[in-house]
Amino acid sequence: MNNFAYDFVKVTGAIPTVIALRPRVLKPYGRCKVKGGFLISANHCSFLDPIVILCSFWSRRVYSLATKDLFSTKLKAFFFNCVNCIPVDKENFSLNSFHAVVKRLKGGKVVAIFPEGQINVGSADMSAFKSGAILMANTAGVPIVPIYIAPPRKWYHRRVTVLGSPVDVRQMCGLRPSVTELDAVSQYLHERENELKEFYYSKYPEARPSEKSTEDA
Amino acid sequence: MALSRNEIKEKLSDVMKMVLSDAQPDLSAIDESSRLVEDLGLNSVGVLYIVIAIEEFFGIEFEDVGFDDFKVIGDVVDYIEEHI
Repeated sequence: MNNFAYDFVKVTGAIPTVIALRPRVLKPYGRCKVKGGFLISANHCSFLDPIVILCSFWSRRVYSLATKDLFSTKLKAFFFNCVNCIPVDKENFSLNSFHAVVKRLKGGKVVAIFPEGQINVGSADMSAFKSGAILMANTAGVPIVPIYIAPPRKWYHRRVTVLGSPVDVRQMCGLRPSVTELDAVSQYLHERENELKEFYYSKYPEARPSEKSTEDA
Repeated sequence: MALSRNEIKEKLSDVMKMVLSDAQPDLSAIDESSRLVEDLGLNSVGVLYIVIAIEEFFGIEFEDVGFDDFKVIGDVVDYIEEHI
């Protein structure tokens, strides 16, 4: 039932999404060849980001984390469950949310997460990443695929994402890493996403914010 | 498997060593009143990691707990003692 509802929303929303967002995926490292479960780590610049990610991984059913406030009524809870959202308390991240993500990753599903923790508006620079995503991927034993979502300059501009190469967390920090090692991998992931951002600006130099506008922001 | 409070604290010390590794120089100074955030420098992910490691080490399953549920080491020991 859940898959049917998800696919129904996905298929009926496809044409309006393509018209409105005109998504484009840049693949400097080629196609994503990861089979089975993996975690998508993306910067967060708009509330439409989960849809943009879905466009980048069209052949997969993508789960995403959503603040528990969105599940406030039965109707809302039904809808967001249908579109594969996992409720999470941003103020007091709970073990249930963690286990829900790890269970899906171990079951071969794809989960998208925004390690910045909130929508980053008004700045071209990404905020520091929290290391929760690294812990989830490491516990589930799945790779992380970094992607960069270009912030839209105007509402009518097409939405561009840059797909990175998978990062094997367990290979980097072992089965039982320390908190410091988790933070180091988190920093590494941040650097990889900055590289993807630079790749985007090399393709769209006009999108690079001028120094003046950066200072204003 | 019933463990005494001291045995729990010893096992918990192993968990802390794994999680904190080189981040904390003096684990022997940690006692039940040590605060997870202020004294051990843990963030929300660190606390979560400790909880997950405890689940593995002690073979128990935590009910839904969050970052705010454990303030000091004593809270963690109490929880394990109640649920083991």
